[in-house]
Amino acid sequence: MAIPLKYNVRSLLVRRVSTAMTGGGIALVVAVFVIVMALVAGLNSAISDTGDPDNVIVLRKGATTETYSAIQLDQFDAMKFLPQIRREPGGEVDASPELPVQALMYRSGGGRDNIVVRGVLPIALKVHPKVKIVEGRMFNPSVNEVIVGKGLVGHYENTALGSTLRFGRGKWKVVGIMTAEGGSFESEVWGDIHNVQDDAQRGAYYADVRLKLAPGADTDALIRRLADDPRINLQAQTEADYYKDQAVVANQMRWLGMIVAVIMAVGAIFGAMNTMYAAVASRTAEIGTLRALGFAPMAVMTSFLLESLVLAVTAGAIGIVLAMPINGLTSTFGNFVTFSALAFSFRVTFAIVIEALIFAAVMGAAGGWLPARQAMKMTIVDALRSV
Amino acid sequence: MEEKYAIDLEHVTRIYKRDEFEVRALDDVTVQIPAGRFVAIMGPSGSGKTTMLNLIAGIDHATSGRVAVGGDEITGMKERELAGWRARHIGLVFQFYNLIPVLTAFENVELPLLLTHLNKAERREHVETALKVVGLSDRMDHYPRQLSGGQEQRVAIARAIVADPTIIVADEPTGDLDAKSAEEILGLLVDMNRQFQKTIVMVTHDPRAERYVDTVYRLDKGVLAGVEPGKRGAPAEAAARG
Amino acid sequence: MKYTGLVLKNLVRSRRRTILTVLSIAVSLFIFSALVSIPTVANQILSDTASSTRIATHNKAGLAYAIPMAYKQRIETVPHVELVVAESWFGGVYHEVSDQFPNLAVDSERVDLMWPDWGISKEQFDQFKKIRTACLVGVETMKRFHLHVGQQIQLRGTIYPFNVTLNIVGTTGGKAPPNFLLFRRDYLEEAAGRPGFVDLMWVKADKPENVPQVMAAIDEGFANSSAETASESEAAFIGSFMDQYRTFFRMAELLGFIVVLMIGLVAANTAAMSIRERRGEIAVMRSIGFPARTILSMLLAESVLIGLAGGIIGCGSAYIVLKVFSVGSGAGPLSTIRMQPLIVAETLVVAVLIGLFSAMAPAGAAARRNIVDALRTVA
Repeated sequence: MAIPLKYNVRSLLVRRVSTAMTGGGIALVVAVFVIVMALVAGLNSAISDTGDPDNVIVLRKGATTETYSAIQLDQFDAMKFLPQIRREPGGEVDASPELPVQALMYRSGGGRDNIVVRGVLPIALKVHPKVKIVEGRMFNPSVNEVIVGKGLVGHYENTALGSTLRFGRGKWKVVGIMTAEGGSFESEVWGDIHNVQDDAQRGAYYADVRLKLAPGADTDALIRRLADDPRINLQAQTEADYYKDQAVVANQMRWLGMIVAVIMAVGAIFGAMNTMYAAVASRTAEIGTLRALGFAPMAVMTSFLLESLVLAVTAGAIGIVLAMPINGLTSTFGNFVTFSALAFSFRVTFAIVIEALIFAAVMGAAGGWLPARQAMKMTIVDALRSV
Repeated sequence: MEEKYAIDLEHVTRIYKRDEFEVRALDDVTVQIPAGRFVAIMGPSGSGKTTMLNLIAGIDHATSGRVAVGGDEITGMKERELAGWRARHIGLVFQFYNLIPVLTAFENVELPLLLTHLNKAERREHVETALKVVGLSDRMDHYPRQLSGGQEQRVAIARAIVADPTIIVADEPTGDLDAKSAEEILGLLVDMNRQFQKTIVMVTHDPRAERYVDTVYRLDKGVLAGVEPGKRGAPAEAAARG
Repeated sequence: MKYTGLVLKNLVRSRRRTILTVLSIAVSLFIFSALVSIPTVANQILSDTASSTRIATHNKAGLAYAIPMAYKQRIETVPHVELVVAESWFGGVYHEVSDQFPNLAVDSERVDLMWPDWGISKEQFDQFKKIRTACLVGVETMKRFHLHVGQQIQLRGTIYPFNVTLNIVGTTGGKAPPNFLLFRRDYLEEAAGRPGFVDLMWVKADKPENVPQVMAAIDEGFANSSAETASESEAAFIGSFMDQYRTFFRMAELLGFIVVLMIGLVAANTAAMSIRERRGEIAVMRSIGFPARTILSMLLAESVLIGLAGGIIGCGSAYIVLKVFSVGSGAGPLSTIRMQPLIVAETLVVAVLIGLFSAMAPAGAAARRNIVDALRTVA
């Protein structure tokens, strides 16, 4: 039978200061873990949530991103009527040629960032159904009007509805604010593609084309056709794949974050080990008594291990609570791939909370293991002698 | 179960290694203690009495020789088996009470019962009975630090009897008590022996103890120096109920 | 210090606890010093280029916008301008898409004068000027793909709809970015059909003091034109690339702070434990006649030594790891990471302070405690 848990809980409470300090160390490590993972989750979400499950992105062959791609008008014309592309009820083809350009914009607090200005045609709203205009209206193609992603509003100058936004070589009126379910379009400004082409003096080039697949269409067939047709000769992939590759930023951060958290955890584990060793040392007589009464050595070890676990998991829960305020906080991050600023929100997901608790438990087990073993290995006679 | 000998030690030797030195705590000791007796083991410091007690209680292993307690051969038992055996057959009383400070008197007495299959209600019943026997029913929820030395030892005795062990083993039970409390405790032990037929083996320095026991075993330098009858019969202060 | 022996003995006495504490502090300070080094990467780069006389002039709207080639002659007439070299980003792909390295085209005529600190020999410059398809490759890229001088390589166009075939005539070294490839802009211009636009103009001023004046003059000259310019010193230009990592840097600093908090807690706990354990001994020493002040300083010395040991181990390991890391990693913001002497000092100071403050309360209490009370706890 087991040594009752209340013995461990009360023993933890009796040495209040020591428990609090060790617990505090663990709580901080868990808090760091949660913050970093929330950053990664937020970044990941912002990037990968951008894609549509039934969209394909077409780029020049060899291009890794829209930034380094160029597509000519005749290539676009040649692909427009392929059977795998969805059509609107009115007959319009769901093919959106796009030209994203990095333009410098000024931050509200000072300083400037490269922001993606995406030249699009009105069909873009149909091809990217996640994008919704929540305030104002869509821009008018013949004038310098733009819609601004919600993630930029308030963080950059002149991004509110009705303002005159300056970027590129001219002035643009903000006529609408858009959301995109947290994806990277929310960090962009959208304007008419011809105006953007003129402004950036890109001639008649597009950077990429987004195609929406017709229901039941063969994606692979479309991709092959786009590559093999000599009039087209472009590379295509699903948006899901495209944005997954872009998430390299988030992945780098995840690795870095995990390394930091693990190393910090090692420090906390050493601290916990010290505390547990001290606990075992000061309770040697108790251990001897319990063993003498007939509790098996394993029961003693389990008891101390549990004590360490209880301490660690409780501290972990506190750490999670400490880190919680960061949930939903928005910030921007430099997207190394697109050379532009990406707005994202920290996301403390349920998975992160579970992972954090497990992390705390592992710290508790690691810190308590050796001291618990020592408690088990003592001979009863020696333990009792220390009274 | 009526066994001829509650405790049977045959040519038992216990050697400790302290760094490079060998200490012969017990040297070829043979002792047979009948059941139902209240005996004392006495002798000067270093005579091996605590060692002998530890062997009887199953918390130490003999280097050579045979140890049988309550009819069970415990000589070769492995630790895990021994732990279970102790829980069933031995009740321990220590000089410094060895109560768990973070548990109440009730919870301390309950500890040995956690090693049995009794359910919560049954355990409660046993604990209450044991505490009544030692006269501490009104202190059930007190923590050890809230009790006097004598009271703590009584809780310890309650703990020792609560699982109805075959043998009670006591190591200097009065060593840390004042005269009055010491007499009370000794009286309590006599009651255990008389009323509940418990075999009690007690290691002690206390000369008063001779008045309470049936037999005195004297050890000197790890060897059995003599066996004498105790001076039982002197008025055991039964009035010593806290 | 006649008490050094005693202090050291006490440390050795509970070896396991001392080692665990030192290690725990070392691990935490390892992280701390590494984290705090990250933001200094930006400063390092900025200081490297601070005294440069080079100015980057680009379209005010951003690097994605081009400026007319014709601007070159006008900039050359600005006072205190020594020379102007135009640059355009090619962004071609070599072999696999994952084998990206930066490649760009520059005017060949006066490359040697604009970048004398890029470790290019005169012969290599001459070749570059002579051969239209010549290119100069950074040492890292040479090593990465096992290239040698004289080899021909092809870069597939991404922004530009054509490929370029180049001949390697030399390598860059010195202060040049170790992975850049440079080829000739006239070659690019020709292949692109003479568009007449460039991404960037590098302008060399005659003296560092004149840099601000030159920048202002250039931008003023093109104000209100169809392609307004923004000129930045080389330091600011490179700094702007670092700026996108500012969230990253801020987080690193925040983490560093949290780590210090954590170490503090762990160290304080250990100090308190160890001092409490020795309450009895301390009382005995005081009753022998050691003044409270001496006892306090001995306890503090112990704790400071532990902190310092942890600091040296932690900081030392971080220094080595960062050195290895920066050698191994290619491009990216952290390739120039190095631990500044200032950070080493900062870390050691933190270590000492942690040692001091973690023991201060319990040591003070132990040293001043009523001797009689304390003696009572000597079992």
